[in-house]
Amino acid sequence: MNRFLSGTRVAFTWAAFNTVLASVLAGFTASGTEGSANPAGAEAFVIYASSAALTFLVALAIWAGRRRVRGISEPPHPASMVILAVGVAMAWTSLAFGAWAAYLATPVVLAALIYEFYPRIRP
Amino acid sequence: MTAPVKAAAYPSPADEDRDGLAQWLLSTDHKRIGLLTIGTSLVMFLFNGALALTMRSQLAQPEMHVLSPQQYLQFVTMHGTGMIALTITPLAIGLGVYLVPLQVGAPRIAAPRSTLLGYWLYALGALLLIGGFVTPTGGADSSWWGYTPLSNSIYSPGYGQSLWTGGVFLVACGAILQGATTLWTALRMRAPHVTMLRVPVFTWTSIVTSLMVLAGFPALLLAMGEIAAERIDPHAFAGNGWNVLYENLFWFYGHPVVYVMFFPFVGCVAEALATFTGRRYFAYRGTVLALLVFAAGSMSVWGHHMFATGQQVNDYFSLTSIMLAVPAGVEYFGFLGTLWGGRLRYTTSMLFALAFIPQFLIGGLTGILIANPALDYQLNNSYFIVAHFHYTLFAGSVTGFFAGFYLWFPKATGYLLSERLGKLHWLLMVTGANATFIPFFFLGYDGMPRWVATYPASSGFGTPSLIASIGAGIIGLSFCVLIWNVYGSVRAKAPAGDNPWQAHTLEWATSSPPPRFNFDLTHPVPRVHSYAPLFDLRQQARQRKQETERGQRTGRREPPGKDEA
Repeated sequence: MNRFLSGTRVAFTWAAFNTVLASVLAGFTASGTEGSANPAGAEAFVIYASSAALTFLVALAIWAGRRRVRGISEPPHPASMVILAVGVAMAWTSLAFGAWAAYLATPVVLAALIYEFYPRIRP
Repeated sequence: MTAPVKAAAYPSPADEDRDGLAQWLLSTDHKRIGLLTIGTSLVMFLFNGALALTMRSQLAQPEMHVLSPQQYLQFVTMHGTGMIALTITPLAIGLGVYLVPLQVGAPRIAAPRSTLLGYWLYALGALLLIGGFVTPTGGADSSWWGYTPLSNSIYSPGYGQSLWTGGVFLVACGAILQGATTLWTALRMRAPHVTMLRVPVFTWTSIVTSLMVLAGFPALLLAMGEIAAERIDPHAFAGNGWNVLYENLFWFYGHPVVYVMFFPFVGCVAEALATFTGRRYFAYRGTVLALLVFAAGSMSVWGHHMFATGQQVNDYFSLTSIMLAVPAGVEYFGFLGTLWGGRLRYTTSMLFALAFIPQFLIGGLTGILIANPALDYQLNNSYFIVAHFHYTLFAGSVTGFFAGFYLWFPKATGYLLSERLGKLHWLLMVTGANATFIPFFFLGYDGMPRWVATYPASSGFGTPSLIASIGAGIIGLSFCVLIWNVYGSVRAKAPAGDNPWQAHTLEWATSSPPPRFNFDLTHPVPRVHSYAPLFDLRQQARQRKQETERGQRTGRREPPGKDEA
């Protein structure tokens, strides 16, 4: 059991559980009132099935990452992450205050990208 | 005594060792990010708690006018969103960010910069949400679920609703990032010998929580996208079909998030019970299986929030909701089995863990009650529902959080809290919680609806409402005691030592607080044979001591143990 239960298998098992439950929902969807299909249930099924598919993608990513060996190193300076978060938050305020907030956010997001990628391409 | 598996001198850059504010805010150390997340959540807790106290002042007596009806709606919207999205969910995820790498023997969290980005998205999202209050039109007032079309720009024209939409989107993105990195750490970065069935119960709860975040929270992003489109063009998604779609998307996040706010605190309680009974956690494998089934099952129950709409497959969602009682029962069996025959130490952490068990049970059992559509039609939108979810989230999850808070505070800070003040905090909080939420059941039974800013004197709601408001005041007082306790602890600096509670899991093998890369040459990762490695080591040491004593009594010289050799 100890050997069987790897990280990947945990993720796949969980995805499989969700698939089973989504399949059961599909069965209920087909049996609407008076034998007709239940459109509300179909919508619920599409959402749940999409999520179950997403959990398989997560499991697949975990499986694909199994051979990736990471050393223990200090990550690059994270200021670009903070600047990016500020830029995205500013962009969202445009929903309340108008497009000018998005214009203001653009140089901030660009600054984050430059801060992130310039050290990598610098000779 | 311990056999180091891998003891490397990890790099420790100078800027990470400093304690300035900028070093904290820009740190990629998972412990600092975890503490920032938990600290910000606790500040949000105080803010949203203050909103709740104001609302309880309004409702203490009939015909009170502390707040206008419009302000009341803004307060209740912010209280709901704030407690769920800004407080309890980040508390749950932040605990995972702090503890999971330590419990699996990893030197750091996976993708630490993404984890930091997650924190900042959460913090800035919180700022946007609260920022609505300082705009001329006030905060959002279309409830924490923001149903369309109520939340579109025709029916909620102010700035607050737009900022709410952006804030919720950012907070959800932050949770997804932090959940993903925690999951990857637990599944892919464990120390050698730490197999999946050797990780502690808390880490398992974080694994299932992260899986639920990754599966459920993207639906919230889509829902917020729908509101955003309707705020730009209120006719973009005209028609009831879109409204039902919004409800489905929102609750596909909205119910799993209840369990995101539950599982990590089950983990806290499990660790506290195992530690303070001096036993291994009972039925570990059964609990792990129950957690996986419970988490998958809780993805399939969102429709019970829509029973009364007539637009849902009620029989399926009723069935799955009631079925959740089975894995929940297995978890309770684990709690009781751990307590049975243990040598109980009644520390503050243990008292909170013990209070969690019956209090969450009340929340859980009333949940099964309203999983029955026939009953839900009657109880929907009444104070009975308010009582149910406050028992699960406050009397359950928050109580479970404090079991973990008092357990791990010495590890995170290196200082001990006052047990005397801790027990006073416990007494006040448990008294206050029950005094507040039990009357809600009676109010709901008597037909008091939710979302009312006041009520007439003839309704008969006055006395239970007054008791509930006094209870809320007692809860507020309990938090003053907590703040005083933390302040006193940081001032007194009573050293905690590495393992003040004789706990069982890997984080207690390192120093308090742990070094930058969690384990170092003086505190290496011990060899792990089970989910309670330090308990194993103590057992081995005790066994060796007994054998030596027996050998001395019989005059025979015992050979040295394997590790001593």
